[in-house]
Amino acid sequence: MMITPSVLLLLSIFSAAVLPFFKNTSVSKWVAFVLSSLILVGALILCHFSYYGILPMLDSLSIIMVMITAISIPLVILSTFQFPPDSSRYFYSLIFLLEAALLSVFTTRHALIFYVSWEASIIPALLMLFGWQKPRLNTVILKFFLYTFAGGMCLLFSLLVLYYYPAGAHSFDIFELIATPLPHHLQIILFLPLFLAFAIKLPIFPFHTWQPETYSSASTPTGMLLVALLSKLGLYGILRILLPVLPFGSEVWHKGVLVLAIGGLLYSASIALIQTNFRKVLAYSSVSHCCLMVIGVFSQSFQGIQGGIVLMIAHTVNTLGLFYMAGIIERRTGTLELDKLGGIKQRFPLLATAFFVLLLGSIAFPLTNGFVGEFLILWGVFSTHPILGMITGIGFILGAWYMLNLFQRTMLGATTTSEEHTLSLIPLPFSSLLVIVTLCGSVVLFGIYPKPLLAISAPIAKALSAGVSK
Amino acid sequence: VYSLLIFLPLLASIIIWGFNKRLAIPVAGWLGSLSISGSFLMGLFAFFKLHNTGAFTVTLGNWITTNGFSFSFSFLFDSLSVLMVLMVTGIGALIHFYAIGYMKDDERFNSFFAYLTFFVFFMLVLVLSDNYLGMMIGWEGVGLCSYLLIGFWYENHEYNQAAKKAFLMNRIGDVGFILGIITMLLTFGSVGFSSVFAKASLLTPGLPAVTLICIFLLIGAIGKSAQFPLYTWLPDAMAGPTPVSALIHAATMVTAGIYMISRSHVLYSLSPFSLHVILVIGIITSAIAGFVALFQSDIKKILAYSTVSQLGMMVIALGLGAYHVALFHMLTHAFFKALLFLNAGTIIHALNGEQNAFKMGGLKKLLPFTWWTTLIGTLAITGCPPFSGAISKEALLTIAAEHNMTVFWILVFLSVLTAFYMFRFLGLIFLGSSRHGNHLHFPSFVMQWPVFILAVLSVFGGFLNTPHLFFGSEWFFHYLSSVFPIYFSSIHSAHELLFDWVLLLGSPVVLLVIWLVTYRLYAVKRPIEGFQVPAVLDRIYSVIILKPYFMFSGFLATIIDHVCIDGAIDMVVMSVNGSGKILRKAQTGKVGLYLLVMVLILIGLIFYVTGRL
Repeated sequence: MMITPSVLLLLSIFSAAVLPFFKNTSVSKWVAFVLSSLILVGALILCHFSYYGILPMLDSLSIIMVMITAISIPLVILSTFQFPPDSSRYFYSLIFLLEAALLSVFTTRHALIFYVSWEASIIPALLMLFGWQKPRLNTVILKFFLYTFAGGMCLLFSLLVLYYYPAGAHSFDIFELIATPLPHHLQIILFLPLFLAFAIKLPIFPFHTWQPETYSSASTPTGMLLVALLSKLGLYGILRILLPVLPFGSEVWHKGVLVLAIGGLLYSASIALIQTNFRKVLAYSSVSHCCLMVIGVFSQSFQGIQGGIVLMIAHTVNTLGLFYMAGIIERRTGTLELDKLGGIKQRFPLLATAFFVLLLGSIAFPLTNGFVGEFLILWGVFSTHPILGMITGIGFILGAWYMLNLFQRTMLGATTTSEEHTLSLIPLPFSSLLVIVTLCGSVVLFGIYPKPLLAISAPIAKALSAGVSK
Repeated sequence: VYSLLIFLPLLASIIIWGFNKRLAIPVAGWLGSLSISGSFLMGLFAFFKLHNTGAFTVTLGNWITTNGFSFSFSFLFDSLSVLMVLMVTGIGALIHFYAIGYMKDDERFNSFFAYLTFFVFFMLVLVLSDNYLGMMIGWEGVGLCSYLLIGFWYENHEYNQAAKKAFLMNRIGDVGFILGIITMLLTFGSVGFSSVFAKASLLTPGLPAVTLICIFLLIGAIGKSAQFPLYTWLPDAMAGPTPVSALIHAATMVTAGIYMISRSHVLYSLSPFSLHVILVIGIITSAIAGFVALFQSDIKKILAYSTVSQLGMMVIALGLGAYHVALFHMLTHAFFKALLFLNAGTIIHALNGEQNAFKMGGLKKLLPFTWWTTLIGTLAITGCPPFSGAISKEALLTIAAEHNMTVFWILVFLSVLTAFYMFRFLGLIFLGSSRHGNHLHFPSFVMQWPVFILAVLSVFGGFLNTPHLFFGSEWFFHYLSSVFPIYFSSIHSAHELLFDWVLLLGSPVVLLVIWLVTYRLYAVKRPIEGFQVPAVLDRIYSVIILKPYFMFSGFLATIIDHVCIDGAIDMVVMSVNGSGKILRKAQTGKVGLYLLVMVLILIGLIFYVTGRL
């Protein structure tokens, strides 16, 4: 059987089209799960063939992104098994539309399709936000839309310039764009709109203000998809287009970007420290981690770029887990305000343990997935800019600080949850356990055995660091 | 095979943790204790193998591979690491056995042993790794277990705060340690001990890169070994159960910094500047902690500050370049400080959780076994010959006198300080009138025999390194000479012998005088709980760093994030919105107006185009 990216794409769209016909929730969730698993299997075969050169259709970067997407989606669907969202068939259908858009972005080499799919991914996200958010905060969603749309406009503008500028044959093929050297002054100018487009998507400081509100008003599965997958579009764009197409522009601006990102790292960590809402802490922590990835990727070193990619993978796993935890806690205690939480460990030792494992991953504890990426980033940035490297180190301390605060205020202490929620003390169902165990397991597994991640990210880092240092 | 030594505790920990509630209460304890005893036995085998074949390495597999660099899980067994293994597992096993009795009424008994054995696993990784990155795993790992155990009773807010503080203070050190590793990678292209030291030994002293590495690593050691200015976490760490204080915060984890600097002696010897820094930090730490220990009423805090002070002395030894002396004092300190902490635990256990020394007194008759062993521990720590502490301190004083007489006198002063606060400790608890309720819990046998063994070690442990004065051979220093270049002089001048005799005879006299003074103060009269030294450094940190920082964070969150950045975005949106409103007025719906505008534009266009032509 031929597995090509378009087969996966069609399968996603087919799933999205089919799902609305399953009116029964308990059926539709299984259909969604089976279909997403099917896509995962297809993605595995595709990536396997591509990686070993049997059918080289995807390069390493695409393989990573496709795998992240294909693995996350079944997990997100599985995580909704206990409490499926209202009119879940439409929700699942939207998830598949989102998957289709993401797979299209991650596999195409045509710049215009890249742009169209990029924008297309906003639509299902927007619908999920509109339809399934708890308090109807339309202004928040409007801000999210306008912000990302503005970013998309910058992207479109830059891509059009890239298309029209070279004399002779115009091309939208990304690899041909990379091969066509651009004059230096154009690279310097064009860097700005492109960077803006990707920085908003990630988001990094100071383009992040849409994010905490959006994440904290989104329903749990939507939040998981937004933070784990949609934010990765930004980094993918940087790695796929910004750095290779504008090597000179990147070199000129990299110091500015580093300072911005390191400032953002400390800034968002400081704000995370004093947040009083569980999801907002996670949201600012995510900004902080995105800044860290950008630091790595712009450190102009092999280790930094590799670390950025590895951290991106780790971040997907950890944020999926942490946002899911937030959902579980909210469902069971009725609140995410830290002042009202506490003592969950006493009632749910398992939940506390799982949360702690994810926390260790997120604060880059050795032998967890976060450490490999953050160590490489620190190494990369320290090797090119020692002073900035030292400042980045402060971010490590702050990161541990706000996460331990979060753990202490939710899990430790005496139980404070009121009696009305004793009903929700039923143990977690098998589906939730499966999600938690998978995520926590991969936190530890890829911490002890990061070899596959390092092996697959090495060629990308090699290509980019060679291009940059020229 | 020897890697099993490391994984035995891990295995036990996972089993205990996995079965948690299904395991009957003492079973988990025995499982943990026996696994560590097993590691100790294997450590002994490694010790003898070392004697026959010399140092050897065990490699398990690759961890991180990047761009030509490769880091593996690999363990080095040499005389230094095996010494550490024997100390960690030996004392670890004793404390585990003790904890079976101490924790038997706690409902989370099993979790406790899961954490404690997990700690031993990380400690073994720390001391056995043959490269700095592997050491980093253990380095952060022991910090994690320390966090879990300090905050073991997690219902208590203050304990949680103490645990978090310990983790974060250590984290500051950890970041220093990572930066040190990275600098090392950039300088030597490797983090393995053998290759780094081989390359470093070719360098000339005083290279800035090496000094930078040394300073970064030192920051790590300051965090882990509770030195000034990061020592404030250790007294708070006493919130944990007492066996934890004995094992982690006295005998093993806090000595990791001493071990690490000794391990890196090749680098430090190349950087006289960083040795000076170490010396100064050791002196400051030891002096501050010694003073503060004099004004504490909580018996665990007295011991905690005493630990900080003794660690400071080891750091002074490191600063003098006498790594073997530092390690020797570390070993004897592990014996008597574990002993003292376990006895403190017995006392707290006996008095139903009372920790205030001013509410004790007169326990000599009630707890005779504890009294005698505590007396031994006290005599050992104050340096009364021939107890173990005396021999290690004598070695320290001798080395100091060879280097620098100022340091020598500072050390003498610090030892006097030690004697003061320890005799005060002894007098307040055991002598004088009874100031407590009479309902006592007597320790069970399982809590007594580990104490007995530690007492024996505290008495005779020093003879591992019998000095020449007693016709000994300094076996311990010879043992370590395969790692450190130690200078042994075979001929001892009359001057040196005289010096040794003065120390030997002088110290009991001084101690006796101090004892008489403290006895009058704390045992004869009813002692008054007077002046308490507050945690000054904590206050300073709170006022200078924490409060302004939180205010700044609040400023960032409310003013910058909300008003400035988000406000600016809102302004853009508003202006778009506003211009839409203005433009809407043009949409009047009158066809005539539209036609007029169209015609005007067309005329304009025609003029423009013809003008261009």
